Amino acid sequence: MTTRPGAGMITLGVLGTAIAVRADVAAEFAELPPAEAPPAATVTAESAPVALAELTRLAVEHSPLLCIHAGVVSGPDGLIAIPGQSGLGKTTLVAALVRAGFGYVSDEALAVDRTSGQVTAFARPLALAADVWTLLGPDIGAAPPDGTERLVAPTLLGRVAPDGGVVRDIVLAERGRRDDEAVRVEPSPRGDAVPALLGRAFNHYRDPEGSFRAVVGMVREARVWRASYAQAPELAERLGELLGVHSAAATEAR
Amino acid sequence: MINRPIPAPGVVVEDLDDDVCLYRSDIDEVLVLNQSAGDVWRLADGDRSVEAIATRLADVYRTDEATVRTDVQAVVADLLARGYLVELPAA
Repeated sequence: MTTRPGAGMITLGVLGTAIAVRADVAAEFAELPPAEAPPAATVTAESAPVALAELTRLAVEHSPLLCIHAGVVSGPDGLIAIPGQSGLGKTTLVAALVRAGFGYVSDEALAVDRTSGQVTAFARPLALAADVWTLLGPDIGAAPPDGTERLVAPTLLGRVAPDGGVVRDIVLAERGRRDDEAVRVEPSPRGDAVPALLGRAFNHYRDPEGSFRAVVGMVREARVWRASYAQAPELAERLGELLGVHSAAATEAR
Repeated sequence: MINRPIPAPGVVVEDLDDDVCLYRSDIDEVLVLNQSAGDVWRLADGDRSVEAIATRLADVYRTDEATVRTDVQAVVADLLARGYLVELPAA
C-alpha cells in the first residue's frame, strides 16, 4: 500500500524504498536523499532517534533489496562490508573507519540488488554512546551524558561515499577478550563469509534462493578477512594500511 | 549400509572456489563443504553407491581406497543426517 505524504512531511529514499518523515526530523537525516515515489510507509515520531529506528525498521520491511545487518564503508577498490556479529560494536567500528579515511556508506545495512550486486547507500546518522567520544576525538560535538547516545551526522566524522558500488572486501570481525589484545587481520576462506552474511540478512525470507545466490555471487567477487581487535581505531588503522586508505591527518603529515 | 546418495529436493547449490555452498531454505541453513567433501557431494548423483564414489575418488587422489572409503562414508552419513542428501535404494 502507498500513501501521499502529509503536510509537514518529506519523503526520503531509504534502502530502495520511499519513507515519509516529519520535515523537522528529516533535517537531521541530511545524507538521506529525497524520493519522488509515493511513500510506502510513514514515520510519525517527533524525536530523531526514535524516528531513525522506525525509519530503519520500515525501510527494511519495504525494501526490494537484500538487506543484511552490516556496517559498510568504501575504499579505493570498492566497498568493505562488516557483518554485524553480536557485541561487535559495529557503529563504533564504522565511525572509526570513517575517521581513518574510509567513505561512509552505512552503519546498519548492506543493501544489495540481488541481480546486479550493486549496493545502495544508507548514510543515516550514527548513534554514538558517550564512551566512544574519547576514541573518535573531540571535534564531533559535545559528548552525550554517560549511558546515553547522540546522533552524529556522518559528515562530522569524515567523508560520505557516493551511492552505488560493489563489495570488494568482507571483514569478519570479532572483539578480543582483553582490552590490550593486539589487532589481527588475516585472509580467510571465502566460504566463511556466506553463512556470516546470510545469517544476518533482515529480509532474505522473501526470496531465500535468490538471496543465497546473491550472497555467494557477492562473496565470489570479494576478498574475505578475519579480524580480531580490542579498540576500534586500531582495527581501522590496520585496515587502512591493508586496503590503501589514509586519514586526512595522515595525508597532511606526509 | 548406505545405498546411492543423491541431493535432497530443494537443496540449492553454488560452487565457490574449491568449496561447495549448500543452502536449505526450509530450515534457513547454509553449509559450506571444503574441497574433499565437495568432491563427495559432486559424485553423489543417485547413480553411484558409496563404494563407487570411494573408488572414483581413490583413483583421482591416487590413494588407498580403504582410507578414502572411510572418509566418504563419514561425509555421506553427515550429509544424510543433516538432510542435504537422501539415499536411493540399491539398484
